[in-house]
Amino acid sequence: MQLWISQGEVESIKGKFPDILEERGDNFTSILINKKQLIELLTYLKEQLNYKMFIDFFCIDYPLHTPRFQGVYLLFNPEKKRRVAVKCWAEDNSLPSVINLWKGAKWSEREAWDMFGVRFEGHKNLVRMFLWEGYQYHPLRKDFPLEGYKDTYLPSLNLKEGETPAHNYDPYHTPLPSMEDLERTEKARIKKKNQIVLNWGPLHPGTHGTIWFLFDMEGEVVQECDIILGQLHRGVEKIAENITYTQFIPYTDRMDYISALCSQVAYVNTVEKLLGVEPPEKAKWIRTMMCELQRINSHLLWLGTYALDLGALTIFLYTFREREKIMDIIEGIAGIRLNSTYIRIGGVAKDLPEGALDVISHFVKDFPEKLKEYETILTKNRVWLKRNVNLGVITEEDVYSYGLTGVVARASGVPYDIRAIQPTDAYDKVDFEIPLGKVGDCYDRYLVRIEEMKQSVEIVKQCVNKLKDMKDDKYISTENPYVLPTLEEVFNSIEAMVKDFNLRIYGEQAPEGEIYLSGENPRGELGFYINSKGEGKPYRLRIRSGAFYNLQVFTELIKGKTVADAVVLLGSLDPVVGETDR
Amino acid sequence: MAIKHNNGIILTTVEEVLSWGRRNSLWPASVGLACCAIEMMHTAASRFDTDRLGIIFRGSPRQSDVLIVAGTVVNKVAPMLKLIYDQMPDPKWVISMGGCASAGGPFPTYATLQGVDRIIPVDVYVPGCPPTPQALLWGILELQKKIKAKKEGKVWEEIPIKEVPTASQPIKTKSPFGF
Repeated sequence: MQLWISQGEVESIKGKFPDILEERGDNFTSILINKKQLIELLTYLKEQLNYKMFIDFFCIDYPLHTPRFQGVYLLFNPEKKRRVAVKCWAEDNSLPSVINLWKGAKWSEREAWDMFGVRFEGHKNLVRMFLWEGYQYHPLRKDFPLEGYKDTYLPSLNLKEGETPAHNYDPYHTPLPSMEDLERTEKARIKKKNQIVLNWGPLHPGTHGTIWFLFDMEGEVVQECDIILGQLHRGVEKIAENITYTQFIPYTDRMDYISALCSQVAYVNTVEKLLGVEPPEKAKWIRTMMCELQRINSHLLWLGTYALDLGALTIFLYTFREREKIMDIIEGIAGIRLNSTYIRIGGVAKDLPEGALDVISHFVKDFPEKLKEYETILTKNRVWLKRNVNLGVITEEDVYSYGLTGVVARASGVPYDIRAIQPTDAYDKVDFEIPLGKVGDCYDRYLVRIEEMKQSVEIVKQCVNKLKDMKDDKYISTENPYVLPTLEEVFNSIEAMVKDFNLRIYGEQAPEGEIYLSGENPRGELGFYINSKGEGKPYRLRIRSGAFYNLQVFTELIKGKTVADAVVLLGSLDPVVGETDR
Repeated sequence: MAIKHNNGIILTTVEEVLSWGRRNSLWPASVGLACCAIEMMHTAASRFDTDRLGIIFRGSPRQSDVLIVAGTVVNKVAPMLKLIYDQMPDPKWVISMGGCASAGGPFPTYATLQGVDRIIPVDVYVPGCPPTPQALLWGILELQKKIKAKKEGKVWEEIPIKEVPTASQPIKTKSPFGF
């Protein structure tokens, strides 16, 4: 399915901007433009050609090229369902800011400044996104080492004298911020204009991880808000540039740890498309089934914690009971409960064990009843309605401007679902509905998620029925030169052993090119952009995180609301810090 | 602790009673950092139910005596985590949950703290990525044993590093047949 800008549209752009350079590929189509005309072109794309949805912005570092950094804008046309990438070299290490066109660009431009040191002309408050003020380096530059510069003496407090450390231990460490540094970071974000600046987080049970909120408050009402991220910034994108494609699969789990399988599938699909690997039919159905189980699992965690934040402890215990069942199913199939590195390039790691389908079909038979139970408690509950209805209304304009995806977009009535727009795996063969909201408030987002769980159950049922007939099929296409052989093959044939060695040591030598592909995570569109230079590891891997963009709208929605509403609003946006910070 | 003649009289020392009370009502501060926090929530939720061991998660560090460091500690959050540790009243203990908190785990990067023991002293390390709820429960029980041993004036024998069994080096037991 062609999802990139059509030839005709590019011709029409060429008529207006004769200097552009088109780069057309199967998986990525970009337009290169000079810096002076960038804003003009983006405005033309947004207003004339209807590419009004902001998907992503990121930079790429080419140390040997002048100018050194290249910015890439990804836009989406919601009517024609087409994407376009606009590239622009950052002359004098700066680019014009596009926050007047798309509000969602604010954070990604901050991120580009933080990671690459690219400045943005016209950005209102260009501060560091993940690291703290006073940090000296820009870590995603190619000349910065993965380990950082270890210049602080920070020995282990547990190590006694004369003792051998248990692991490869270096008493020198990368610099830690001081409390003054953190205070400076906080002050740079928000200027006190009203009565008090309230800190919420970063280590607060209600913030769903380690998000740090700053509220400038007048009485109980929030007037201004900013969010400090980076309390879980582990440098995943930097790691990806240093390891092979297969080695990166476990890191995708640890990004969005609540929906590990969905992240894996999104990543592996991208790599497979880049390498030209086709997984067997059975693997596709297993992936779809596991993805949907994980979606139920993820939404259950959301429901439990959301209700817990609003004071309904019972739901938390109920949903965790069901979650344990799904975790057991995943553990039985993949071997690990939470961060199950189950998906492999070219298929899945293991075949379904005996009885797995029976357990799953029992679960999906029981589950709708349990879901009904939760709905009986919550949906028409007076307290629930009072706290949810008409809070945090997101309009369609906001969705396009902020690049909101997933449930947040669908609750506002935008039918943006990657499973339908660009179906991967077996999603084009299963039958499911996409629930949409009308108002776009917290209550709609609750209803849409509940309905999505019901749809997921239906998809799992279809997958189970299909997989019952595929009992003896192949689950990984090891005949492909890019796919790691199974353990059995390695032990029994020398060719497989050599192939295994080569792939593990040198990596999958991917063909040169670019690709952007995304998957529908429970948290929104999780996209992977891979720039390959023909090596065993990606030259640049960008993760377009759904939660990162969804969280951004929080700062706008909270204005004029109370702190008690902040808890509800944050819960309904459902961010995961591992994915926002990466 | 000694029971005299089964008459309902228990003889003990103040130290022992305090230790008994402390180890059976460990209140952890609910600080979740990353993936391990989800497994920590599972440990506290319906199936594993730590409430039955007297473990109740508290929202404030001032009310808690155990800090479960659940997840990756990055450089930026390290001073704040230390602040939370400093705010906890004595006596206090730290459980380092998972590979990231113990030694940086799979993230040997510029942004990650390579082991939480560089900023706060750790009592029990729980291995795993993430550890299962059972593993965390093991860690908590191990901490209870440690508290007990310390109050009784005994030296708590930690498992020597060389004897920790791994997949590649399992502990060799002597065969009864002599080979």
